[in-house]
Amino acid sequence: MKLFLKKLFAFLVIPFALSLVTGFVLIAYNSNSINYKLGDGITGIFLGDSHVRCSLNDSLMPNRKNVSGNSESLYFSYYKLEKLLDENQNIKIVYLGFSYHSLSNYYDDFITGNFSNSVSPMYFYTLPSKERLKMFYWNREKLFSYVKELLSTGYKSTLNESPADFTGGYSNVFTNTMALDTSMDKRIKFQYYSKNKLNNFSEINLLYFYKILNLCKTKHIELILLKTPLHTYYEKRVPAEYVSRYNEIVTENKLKIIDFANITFSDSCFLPDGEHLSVKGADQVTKEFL
Amino acid sequence: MLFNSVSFAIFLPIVFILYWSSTNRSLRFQNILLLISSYFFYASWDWRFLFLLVFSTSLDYFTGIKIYEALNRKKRLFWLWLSIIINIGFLGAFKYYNFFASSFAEGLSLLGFKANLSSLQVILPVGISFYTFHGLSYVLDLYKKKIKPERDFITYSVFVSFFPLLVAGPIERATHLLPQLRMKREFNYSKATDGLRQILWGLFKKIVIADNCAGYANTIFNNSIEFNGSTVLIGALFFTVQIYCDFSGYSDIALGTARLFNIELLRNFAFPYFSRDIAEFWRRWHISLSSWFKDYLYIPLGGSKGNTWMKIRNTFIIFLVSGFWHGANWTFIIWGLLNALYIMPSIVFNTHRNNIDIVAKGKQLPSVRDFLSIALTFSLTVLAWIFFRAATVHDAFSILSKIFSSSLFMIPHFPGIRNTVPILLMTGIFFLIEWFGREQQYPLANLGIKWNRPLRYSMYYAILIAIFWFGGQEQQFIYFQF
Repeated sequence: MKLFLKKLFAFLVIPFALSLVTGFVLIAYNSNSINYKLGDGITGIFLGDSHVRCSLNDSLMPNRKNVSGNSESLYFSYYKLEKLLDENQNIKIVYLGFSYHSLSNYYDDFITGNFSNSVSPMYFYTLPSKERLKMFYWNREKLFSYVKELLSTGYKSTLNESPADFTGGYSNVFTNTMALDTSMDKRIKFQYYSKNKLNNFSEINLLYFYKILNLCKTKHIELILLKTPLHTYYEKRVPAEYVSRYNEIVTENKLKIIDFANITFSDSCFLPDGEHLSVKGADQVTKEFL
Repeated sequence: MLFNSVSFAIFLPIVFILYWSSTNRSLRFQNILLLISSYFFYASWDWRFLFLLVFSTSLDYFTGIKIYEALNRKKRLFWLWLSIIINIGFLGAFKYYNFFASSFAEGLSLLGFKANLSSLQVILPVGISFYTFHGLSYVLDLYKKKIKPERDFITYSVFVSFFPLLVAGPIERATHLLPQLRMKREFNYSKATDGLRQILWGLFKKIVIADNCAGYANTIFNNSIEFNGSTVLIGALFFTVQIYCDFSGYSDIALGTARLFNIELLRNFAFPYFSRDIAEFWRRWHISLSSWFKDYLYIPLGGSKGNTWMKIRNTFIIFLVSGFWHGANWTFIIWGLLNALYIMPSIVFNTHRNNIDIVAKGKQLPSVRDFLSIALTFSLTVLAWIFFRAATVHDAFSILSKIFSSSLFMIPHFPGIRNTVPILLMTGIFFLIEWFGREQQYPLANLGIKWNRPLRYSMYYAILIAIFWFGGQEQQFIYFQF
């Protein structure tokens, strides 16, 4: 048995050591090499998740930059914002994507749960060391594939294949879509309910929402909440508890908010889920901004 | 605790080292350790169902002894039926209640009655179909006086719950596994390395081939309405590869793990996609289940004795029950019946044992006739898997109608999944390795054994790198749901 274990150890020690060294090198390299500079002319940024990402075409807005990313929870947004504000002293205004769904704990899955494995590697190199250790812990059941994703993300970044992934950006390829009732029902169910019970509010997202508020206050940055357009069918089905909690947060903190409730968006401005915008919808929202 | 999880990667070495270093002094210690670790393994899914497993084990242990000690046939039958009814009762309650309730209500509504049968939020205990069949085979063998009862409760409990086979088989037989558990195991270097090789091959099948194919199959099956016929057909092909690599990959890991403890489990797959007819396919696919049905259902029903109609009836019963065993859904029942239809010509013309031997044995390539037979059998299997995978019968028929439409000749597309080319390449290489290794128990068994160490290790490293780098999004083993 000893011979067996010895040989097995000798066989495994090489790839294990190599992976370990490569991992450390990539983490160290990427942590210091990500470029968060957005350009001197940028004075305002759009921060948030895919809703913001597909809604605001920043190429039409000279002083603004859309830095939102897919499935980006406020937890990741906070650490990204910290870095961006450190590197870009000209930023004076932050538009933060914040809607009803941001309150739901379904978002926790993207940080600590099942989807963390596919979402968090993109933000891993932006996180401080303590949070990185937490990420390993949260992904402990899928550690091999998590490390693989980290190495893959780090490797691509090292080769400069996809540097924009760390900071996000406007992205929308949906030109021929329509809001669909069935998809909207599905979406509502996914975001606000699990096993037919109403989801709790996300403690992590709320904690980091307030951290973002404080960060902006400390750095004298104007924070404006951005509630991207929702299809009326979808909006009517958002649970009342979420609507009232949302309104409470906005009024209690005396926050400025941009929403598009008074503007009509046709069905073709949306993706089938009724809460993401198509290119047509994004054009309309961007024009409103201009 | 999945076989491809970090928890298992920690759990297995601990049990292995304890087994060979601390408990190898006596058989009893070895079995106690296997039992504790098996219960720990099972409890990691849901500890509440551990009570059900212990109850099922105790039931069969005691009824087994009672069957053996009963003085007359009437009493023996009583204890046998008691075990069967309670075992099947649990299986039915957990697995089939909602199916029967909803089917009954639908049936009544067709007749104009309104039934309001409440459906239960039942969680299916992992592995219940497998360990129930384990227990049943034991009491049935006792009833038929094939074996003597196991008097040691620990040994019997290990037979039912040995962790490599606990959640998805192979479905073991008392005649095969119990004798091994009654003897103290000694460490065997070549068996242990062979076990590791089989685990490596199983992981490659599962993580690289099955999980990647699952990405395509899930996208296409879940949104089949959006795709043309050729893409849907490709989805069916991906599922065909997925289910084989998923389940046989699981079986390889189970067999390899057991071999680390010097325990041999029943072989579950023997390269089924190289079968030349459906009868051969069923001799090579999920062998432990097929042979279970053959021994405990088909033969008691009369088997192939009797006239042609009897054979046809028995075959239909076997496939119907087999389909139903897989899950409480009409899709599985139709899948079973479709396979019964496929096999029917060979039953009627008595050609079902024409292809017993390994295809093209001792040759590199098959004959044209064999190749065409393999292609035809494979195609029929792909069509049957559509029912197995589809969520409803309606979905399955709509997928089939797409495949058999003019859109079959449109250009297919691979929806939004990265690494398509390397995955297809690796799937191709995988089938080549399977083909050239088809005379072994698993393809890697002899591959590279005579190579020098650096070359052999390079091959193992290449497989490890492929597992690490090209592994798909982690999916649960398909057969865990059964």
